[in-house]
Amino acid sequence: MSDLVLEGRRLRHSFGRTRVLDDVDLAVRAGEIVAVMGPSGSGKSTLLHLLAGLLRPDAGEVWLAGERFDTLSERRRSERRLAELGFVFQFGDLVPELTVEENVELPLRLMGVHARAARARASVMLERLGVVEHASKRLGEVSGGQAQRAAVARALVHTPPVILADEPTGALDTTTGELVLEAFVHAAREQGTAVVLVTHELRVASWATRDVLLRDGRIVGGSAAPSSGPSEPLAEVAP
Amino acid sequence: MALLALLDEGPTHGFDLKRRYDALLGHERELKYGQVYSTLQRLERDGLAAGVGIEAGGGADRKLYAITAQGVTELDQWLTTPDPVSGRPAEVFTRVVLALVSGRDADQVLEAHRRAFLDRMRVLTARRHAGDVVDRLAGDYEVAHLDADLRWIELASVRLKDIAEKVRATGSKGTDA
Repeated sequence: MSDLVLEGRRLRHSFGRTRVLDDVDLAVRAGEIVAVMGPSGSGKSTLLHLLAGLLRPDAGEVWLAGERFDTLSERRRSERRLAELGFVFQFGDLVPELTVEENVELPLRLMGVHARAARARASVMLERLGVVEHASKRLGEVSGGQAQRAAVARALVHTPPVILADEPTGALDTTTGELVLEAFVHAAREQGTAVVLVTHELRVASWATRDVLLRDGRIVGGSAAPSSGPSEPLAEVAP
Repeated sequence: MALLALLDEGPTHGFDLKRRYDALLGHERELKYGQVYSTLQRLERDGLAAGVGIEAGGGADRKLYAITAQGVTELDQWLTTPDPVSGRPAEVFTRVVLALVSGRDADQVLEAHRRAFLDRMRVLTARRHAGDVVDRLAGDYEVAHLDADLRWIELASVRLKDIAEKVRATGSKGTDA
């Protein structure tokens, strides 16, 4: 049985008359961390939005857990996104009316997890991301970097099989950025989570097990297909 | 100067100095015994270190050295005086220019180096919990330098098409460059 969890096949997308992605293939296995790199405007974020089902491709296909994903109804895609994908945007995207911990609990509560269990699980994730002491604060009371780490905690809290992250460390300094990357490594190693990480920072890409390089909407370097053997050893998890 | 700094921890002999240096600063480039003893002789000649006895049971190579007051002054000055900052380009720069000048595909040169540097960075990242605090510091240092080289490679990749013709013209026969 294939352990491919997410696959984009010959993906093509344009905004107006501008072609931003052209016949891009990307296949991701469980437990892999794939860095998608490239200069601004190379199509990195568009690729991530197509894989997340937030955009529909003009041509090509997206497969999630062995099933066609891009052709599902909006409602069905939303349901599957909630259960199977964790998404980290460049700038947080939390609900401002809720506290940090309520934000992190949200995916679990929407999936019907009991309040007490959801809170306990959220605490573990906030602890891992170094923001547990801000759990009961509202979004306006925490810094941008703390909100970003809370957003990562929210993406990971329900242990989805796939994490899609768009410049998740862009607003963070090196040390707090490493907490986020450690959390991804932990999820990949311990839960077999597949992580697709859009970044323009090579230092961040060095945490991935492999990388692809996009330029002008095409893959021009790296490796778009998973290796056939066991995946490369991941960076060690913090003791 | 590094040996003088290690002598500042207390009197010791060449053998221990070498061990201490290798553990702290060696990082795949260990000191040779010959270098240690010739450096100690030079430090003694210049008045920065002095022989203070022979370790019991030892031979000539067990001579104990201590830093002198002049040595401490010199060390303090050295630590806070940066070397002149050089803009010496890395080997990858040289190869890209030569590829451009000779009409070869500089993109391939960049991609090969990009791959090699990123692979090395990945090894260092994977090792980040191994070793002691000094190993970690050395790893961070190398990662930061690789990061700088990789940024240059990214920049050069984007600009390559524009500059290829200009580089070919620069310094070619019949120009003044």
